[in-house]
Amino acid sequence: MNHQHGHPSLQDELFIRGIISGGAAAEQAMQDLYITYRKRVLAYLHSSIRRFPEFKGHPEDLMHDAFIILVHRIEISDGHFRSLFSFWIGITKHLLLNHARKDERVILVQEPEEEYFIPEESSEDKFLESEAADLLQHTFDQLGNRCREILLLWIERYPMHEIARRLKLSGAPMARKIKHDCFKKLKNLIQDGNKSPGS
Amino acid sequence: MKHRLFEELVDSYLLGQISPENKKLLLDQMEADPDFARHVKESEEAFRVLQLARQRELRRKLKAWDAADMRRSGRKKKTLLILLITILLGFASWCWLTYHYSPANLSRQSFHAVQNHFRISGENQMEAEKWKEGMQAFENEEYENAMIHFLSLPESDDAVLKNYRNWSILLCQLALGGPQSEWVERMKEFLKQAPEPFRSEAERLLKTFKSPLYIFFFHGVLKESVTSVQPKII
Repeated sequence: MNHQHGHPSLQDELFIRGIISGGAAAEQAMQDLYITYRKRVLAYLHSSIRRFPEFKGHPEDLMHDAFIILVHRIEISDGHFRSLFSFWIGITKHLLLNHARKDERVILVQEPEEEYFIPEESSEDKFLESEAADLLQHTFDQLGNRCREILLLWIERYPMHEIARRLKLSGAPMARKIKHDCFKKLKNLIQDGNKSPGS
Repeated sequence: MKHRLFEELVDSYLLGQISPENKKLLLDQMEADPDFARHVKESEEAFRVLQLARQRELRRKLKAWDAADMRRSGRKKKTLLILLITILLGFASWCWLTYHYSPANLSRQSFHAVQNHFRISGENQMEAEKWKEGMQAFENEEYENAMIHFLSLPESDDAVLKNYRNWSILLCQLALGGPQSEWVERMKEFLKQAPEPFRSEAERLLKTFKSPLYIFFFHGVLKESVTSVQPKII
């Protein structure tokens, strides 16, 4: 079964629209989506993990990782999904297989059952597993609080006037300018880090 | 102006909100200007760091939502438990009130209270036998039977026996029909000449039937529900 290119339920459609629109609506949609399917995904994960004793991680962490990928996929998609729950389950299953494979260093043959998600080497999968992630994270933490806040709001696709309102700035142009300066600062920090990798 | 336009193009490109036409414009500019291409590449790299920070932030939010959901379901369970306990307590109270204020229980209590003061033997063997059978029937909650035994006893000249007989008959009537107005009148009549301990017991009984708790719960609420539920239970 393919999760994409079908007609989602009305509820899923509202989640998708909310997430794609970005900003505060996206945050609310993400929370609603998460709360709606969380228990079912976790129940599925607990039952699946019994079949993979080599898996050493925490089911909740795996579920969170899968949800982050799900949200990213929705954001970059054209909004056509048949079932978000099936999609989330598919990603979870894919991650579980990868983790189990990594934990035990064994080749696991995927069961020929219903396929929700076609595993592909996605950039976000690699990124989640990247060992350099900590280093990059450290670079971000070097920014000031205000810069971190404004950049996070920007990447959450909040409109500039909303960012200005939240951060009590004079207006959207001021928010845009601060965001530009902070982004430039981040780029400089990354460049400095690249120049001296040992530091 | 042109610089700002390209900045906005880069922003929308990074956020995945760029239109195909603008994307082509951006790619053309990147091909034409190596410095701009480098700028876009650096921006992409910085954007990945931001994505990572966002993932970390989202993970933190997910944990907070988990905790909130757990708290919510915990509260739900607690509320259900409290509701269940309240219902059970309510039901137990209802059962206890029904039992405690039932005419049969009240008459039994009064019967035993007086019984402890006397040892009835009767004036002859036959009377003694009838007293014994009447009391036994009363103990067995066969009030009709008990009343027949007490009624068949002859009017005695002995004041104690006479009062005891009338008292026992009144209690049997109470157990069978409840505190109806005729019964209350008869009890008041009995009270006029009754010695102790009949007097105090009779006063206590009449006081109970006049108490607001009895009138509200038993006479007002419980009697009706008991009479409607009892046949179904039986």
